[in-house]
Amino acid sequence: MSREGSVTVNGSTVPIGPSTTVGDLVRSLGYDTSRVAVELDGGICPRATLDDVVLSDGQVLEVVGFVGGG
Amino acid sequence: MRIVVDGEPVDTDARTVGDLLSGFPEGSDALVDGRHVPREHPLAEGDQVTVMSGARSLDSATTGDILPPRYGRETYDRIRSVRVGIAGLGGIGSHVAASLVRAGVSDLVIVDMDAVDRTNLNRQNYTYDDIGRSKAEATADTLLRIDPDIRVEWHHVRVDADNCADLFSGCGIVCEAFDDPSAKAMLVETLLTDTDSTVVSCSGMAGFDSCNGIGTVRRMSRLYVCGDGVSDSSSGAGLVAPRVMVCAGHMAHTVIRLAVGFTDP
Repeated sequence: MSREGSVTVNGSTVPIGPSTTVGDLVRSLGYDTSRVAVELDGGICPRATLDDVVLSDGQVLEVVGFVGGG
Repeated sequence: MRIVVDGEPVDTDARTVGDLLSGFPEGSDALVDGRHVPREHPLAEGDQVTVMSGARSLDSATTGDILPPRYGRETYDRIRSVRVGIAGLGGIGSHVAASLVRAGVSDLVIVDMDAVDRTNLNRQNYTYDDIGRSKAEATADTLLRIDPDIRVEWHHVRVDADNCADLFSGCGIVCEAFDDPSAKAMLVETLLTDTDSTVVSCSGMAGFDSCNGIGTVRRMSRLYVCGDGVSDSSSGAGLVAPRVMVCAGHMAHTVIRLAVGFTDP
């Protein structure tokens, strides 16, 4: 299915193209998808499914990237 | 003047702690509002005095004698009743654990798969005599030496997506204190999906940058992240003890604030 528009990521508006997945978006913003926690419209989007979930106009994401150390 | 002595209201003419203690056995001590004060300390209306004498000496005072007068009973009870998990007991987790127990947390689940080695001592809360010991067991011993009245459940095991909900079952708050960023992501994602726990995580506490860059943010309804967000332990100077401890302090204080009922970071 082809969709486009924009989504909100960490409070900022980001345009999306047709069939953009969560994984595409997260990578395009510079994150390593193995090191993120992603919330999509209030629920966790597991890393294993990031490339399966196609974004829709108006969705809201929170992307938290982690660096090493603890 | 009316004060409270050992929980009972008392009208007294005593002007100082020493005056009050003259009615108690020689060698008695007093805590005023949970603080050990000298005998010449002046008493004030409403003071809460705990007299420590005989078998109940000052050195046998419990956290329950010391913290409620400072925090208030309700605040103390909230901190005392929360079960807190800590995943990873390195530079962050070992210090978070000790801070939490000092601040009154009494029910902990601590987990780490490693043993202490010499390269840990530059920043982690272990000593030479811990080398070779399970970090979980060594930390449990340290916590019980800080407060023998706590309950601490320790596990020497690798935390993964399959066992983490069970390991941290019943924990209202879990601290993510892993070194590896993929493990951080795994724990946060799994706990937020499979449990009701609030997660206090950390990201970015390495190097010589100012500690003023370390803070706490709330990123999701149940996720707080402490650190500077950028300084990676695998580059540059690596982890430097004071900066790691500042981040651990942010995490432990966030846990305490959540236990008390604050939700802002």
